[in-house]
Amino acid sequence: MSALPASLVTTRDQVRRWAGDLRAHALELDRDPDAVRRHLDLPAVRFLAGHLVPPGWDRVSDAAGAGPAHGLPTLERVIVSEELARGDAGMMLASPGASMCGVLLGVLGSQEQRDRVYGALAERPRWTCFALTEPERGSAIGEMTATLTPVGDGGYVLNGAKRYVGNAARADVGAVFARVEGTERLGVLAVLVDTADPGFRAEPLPTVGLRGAQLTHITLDAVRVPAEQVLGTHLPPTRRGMWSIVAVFNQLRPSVAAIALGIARAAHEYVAEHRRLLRGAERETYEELGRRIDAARLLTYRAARAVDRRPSAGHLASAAKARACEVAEDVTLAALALLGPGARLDHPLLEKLARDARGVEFMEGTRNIQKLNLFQGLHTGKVGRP
Amino acid sequence: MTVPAEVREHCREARGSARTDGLVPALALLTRALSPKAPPRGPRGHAVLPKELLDEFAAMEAEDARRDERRDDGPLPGLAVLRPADHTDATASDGADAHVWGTGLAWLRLGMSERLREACVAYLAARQVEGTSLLMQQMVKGTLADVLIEHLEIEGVLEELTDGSGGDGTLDRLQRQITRADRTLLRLLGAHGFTQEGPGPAVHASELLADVYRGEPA
Repeated sequence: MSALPASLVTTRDQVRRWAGDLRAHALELDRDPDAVRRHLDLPAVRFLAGHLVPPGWDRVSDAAGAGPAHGLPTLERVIVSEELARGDAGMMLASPGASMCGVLLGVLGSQEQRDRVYGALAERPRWTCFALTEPERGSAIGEMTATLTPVGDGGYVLNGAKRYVGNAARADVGAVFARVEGTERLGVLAVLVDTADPGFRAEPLPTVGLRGAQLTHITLDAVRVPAEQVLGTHLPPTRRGMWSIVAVFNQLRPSVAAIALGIARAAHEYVAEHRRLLRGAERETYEELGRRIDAARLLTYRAARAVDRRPSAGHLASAAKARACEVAEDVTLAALALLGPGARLDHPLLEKLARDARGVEFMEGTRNIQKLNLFQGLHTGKVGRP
Repeated sequence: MTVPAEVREHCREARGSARTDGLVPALALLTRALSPKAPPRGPRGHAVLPKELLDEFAAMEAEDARRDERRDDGPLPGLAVLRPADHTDATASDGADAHVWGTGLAWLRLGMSERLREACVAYLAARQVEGTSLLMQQMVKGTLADVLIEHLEIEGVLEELTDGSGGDGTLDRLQRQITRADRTLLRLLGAHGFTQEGPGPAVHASELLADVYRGEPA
C-alpha cells in the first residue's frame, strides 16, 4: 500500500477536525431530518455544499466542480467520507451539495451543464438528488420502466416513479435515469430535472436509520426535459447509458464503503471512550474489530485508486463496499454487546450507529449485487489475478 | 435449570403468536403469562413491554414500590420502554425469573425471525428480474436455506434448553444467532427492509428485546 499524497494527508487532517461538529447534531437530525437546515453554517456542511474550500486543498482550477490536482478524486472522496461519517453519516448525507449528482456530471455532463448546476449550487446551499432505483424493480437497468418520450426537439417528457432516493424532497436539481421510449432494454439515459417543474413530486419515506438522508418516493408525471438537460449527448452513444452508470457506481461504491467505515470507527471509538477497562476476551474482541476496520480501509483505498486509474475497474470497489458494510454491521452490534444489557437505551448515539450501519448495505447495490459483480470479474479474469 | 411444563407451553405460544400476529401481541401474551405482577426487568432494570400493559402494572404496583424512571415510545407502535433512573434498584422486582423470561424471549424472537423469513419469501416471489422471480435466483435460494438451517438449529437448542439443559451463555448465543439470521434476511430486502413501512422496525424492536435482557458481560 503506497502512502497517501501529502495533499490528501492535509485533507484528511482538516476534515477530521470537522467531524465533532457533525456528531454534536447527530441525534437531533435523527429525530428531525429537517434539522440540517439549522446547521448550514457548519464548516463540514459548507464544504459539502461547495461553499468552502480549505486552504491547502490542491484543485485543478478555481472552476466549480474542478477535480483535485493530485488526480485521485475517488480516493479523496473516500478519505473525506470516512472522516465525516465518523462524525455523523446522517449529517453528511443530509448536507446540500453536488454529491452523487456531481460524480454523474463528472462522467456525463457537458461543460455547460456543469456550469449551470454548479452555478446554481454556488448561489446558496442547494440539495441535489440521484434517482435510479424504482419501486418493485430495484436498480436493475433492464427492469427500468421510467420513460423518456421524445418530443422532437431533442427534449423529452419524463414519466414514471423512483424510490429510495436520498434528499429528493429538499433538492432543487435531480439526476434521473430513464429508458428512452422505443429503444432496447438497456437504452437508458440520464437527464437533469428541475424539481420545481410541474409533474415532479417527492415524498419522504421514514426509515429505521440514516434519517438525515431522508429517502423519498418520487413520482414523475409528464415532467418536461429540455434538450439541454439531457446528459451525455456530447459523448459517443456507447458512453451514455450503461457505461456511464457503471462508471458512476464504480466511483461511488468506495465512498459508500468509506461511510460504512466511518460508522464502524465511530462505534469502535465509542466503546474505547465508555468502557475504558476491557479485559480478556472482551479486549481481544475489541482489538480484532479494530483490525477488521483497518483491513477494510486498506481494501477501500485500493479500490479507490483502481477506479481513479481506470473508471471501469470497479471490482475492487464492489469488494470494498461489501466488506466495509459487513464490518459496519458487525462492529456496531459488537459495540452494543460490549456495553452490556440495555446499551441501546443507555447509549443512544451507539444505538443510532447500529441503525445507520444497516442503511449503507443497500446503497449502490446490496451485498449480493456486489458479489455478482465480483463473480463476473473472476469469471472474466479481470480480478483475482496477480 | 429446568423450565416447568407450563412455561414451555407459554414459550411455544409466544413463538406462534410472533409468527402470526407480530411482536407486540406476542410480547403481551408472554408478559402476561410469565411476568403477571410486574414488568420483566433486564439485569440493569430496563424493560420493554406493550403499552397496553403499562396501566395494568401501574395499577398493581404499590405507591412505595414505584420507580423513578422514564417511559418512552418503543420502536414499534404499541411498544414502550422503561429506563430506570438508577441502576441500583434493578434487582428489586416481582417480574419473571431471568432464565425463564430469557427462554421465552428467545422463542418469541425465533417466531419473529420466522415471520420475517416468510415475509422475505413473499416479497421476493413478487419481484421479477429478467422474467424470473427474484426468489428463484440461486443466491437468494442459498441465503434463505442458510437462514433456515439457523432457525432449525436454534429451535433444536431451545427445545433442549426448555427441557433443562444448556449452560451459561447459551441464551445470549442464541439471541446473537437470531439477530444474525434477521440481518441476513433484511439484506435480501434491500432498502425495503430499512423503511418504517417494511419489516425493519419489527427487527429493530426484536434486537432491542435481546439487548435489554441480555446477560452482563463476563
